[in-house]
Amino acid sequence: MKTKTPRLALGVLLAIGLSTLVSCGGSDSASDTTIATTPVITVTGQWARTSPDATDMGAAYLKINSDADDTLVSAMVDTSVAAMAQIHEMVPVENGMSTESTMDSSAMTMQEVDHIDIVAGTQLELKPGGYHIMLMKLVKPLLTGETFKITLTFTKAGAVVIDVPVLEDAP
Amino acid sequence: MVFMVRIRTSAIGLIFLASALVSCSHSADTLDGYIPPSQKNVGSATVHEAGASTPMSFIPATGEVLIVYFGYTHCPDLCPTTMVAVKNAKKKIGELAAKVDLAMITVDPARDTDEILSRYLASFSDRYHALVPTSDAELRAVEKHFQATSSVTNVDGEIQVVHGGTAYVVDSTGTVVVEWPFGLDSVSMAHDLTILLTERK
Repeated sequence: MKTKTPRLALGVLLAIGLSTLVSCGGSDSASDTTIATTPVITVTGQWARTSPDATDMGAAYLKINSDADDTLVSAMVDTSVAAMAQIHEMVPVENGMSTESTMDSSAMTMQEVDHIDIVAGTQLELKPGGYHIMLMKLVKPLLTGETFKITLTFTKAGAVVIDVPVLEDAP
Repeated sequence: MVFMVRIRTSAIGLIFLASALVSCSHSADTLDGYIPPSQKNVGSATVHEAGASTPMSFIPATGEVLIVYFGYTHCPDLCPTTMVAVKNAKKKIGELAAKVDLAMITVDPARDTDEILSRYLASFSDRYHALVPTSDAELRAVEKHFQATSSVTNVDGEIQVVHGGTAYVVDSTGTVVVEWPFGLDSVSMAHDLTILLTERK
C-alpha cells in the first residue's frame, strides 16, 4: 500500500496525458477492444464476476495481446464503481505458514503485483486462480448484465479504456 | 498446479471418450476429482452453524453428499469461482441436485459473521450451511479432520488470508470420497456428483 500511491499517480497522469492519443480507439464490442496505441494493444474476453451478496470485493479478468513488448502497470476503475483496483495474483503458499502440521498443497493466497510484463505475440491472460484485477470496496454490487469501465495503463502504450460486462461466470 | 492440470486434462479426455462411446458406462466409474490416498473421516468434526441450535456435523443424509469448502467472503477470486462451478454443476444434474448439500466454513470468522456468511452463500445456493467457527481451536480442529490449512494475518492494516482452494465431497458415512482441486470445472463436478449419487448410493 505504501508504494501504491506514486504508481497510481503515474497511472492517472499517463491516463490523462495519453487520452487524446487513444481517443480514436474504443470499440462497440464489449468483448474485443483494440486501441490505436503504439504498441497496438488488443484486449479480449474481459468480464467481471457478479458480486455475491454481503461482500464488497470484486474481480475482473481479461486477455491482453500486444504487437510489441510492453508492461501492464496499473488498472483503475471510477470511484463510482469501487474505491480502488489493484492487480493481484494467486500464489501457492508453503505449508509452513499453517499453525497446524497438516498437509494441504492447495493453500494459496493473494498478493498485489507491481506490474506484469507482456511479451509481443504472447497472450497474457488474467483468469481465476491466476492474475485478476481486484475491485476493492465496491460502491454497489456488480450485477449481471451491467457494464463498467476499467482503465489499463501500459508503460509504452499508455492508457487503454475497456468496457467490462458483469457476468456470473467466465464467457 | 501442474498436478491439477494433469487431473483436468485427463478428466476432459475421459469425458470425450465417454461421449464417443455413448452408452458405455465404464467411464462413470472414474471420478474426475482427486481421491485422497488415506481415508479422511470427517464425521466426528463439528462447527457452529449460523441459524442452527446445534453445531453442524459432516454427515449428510443417506443417499446424499455434502460439499465442504473452506473460504471467506472477502475472497474475490477462488471462492466465488468454486461456488459458481458448484452451482452450475447442480444445474447440470437435474433432480439429483436435490441430494447435494453445501457447507462453507469461513477461515476468517473475525470478519465473517453468521449473517454475512449466510447472505453470501444464499447468492449461490438455496440449500447451504454457513459455518462460522466460534474459536480458533474450533477452526483448527475441523481443518485437521480435512487436512486443510488456513491463516489470517494483519500486516500494517492489510489482511492477508491463506486458504486451500479444494472442495471436499463427503458421503453419508462422513468420509471424504473425492476432493475437487481449484479449477475443476462444473462439467467434471457434475460428472462426479452423478457417479456418487447414482452408482454408489
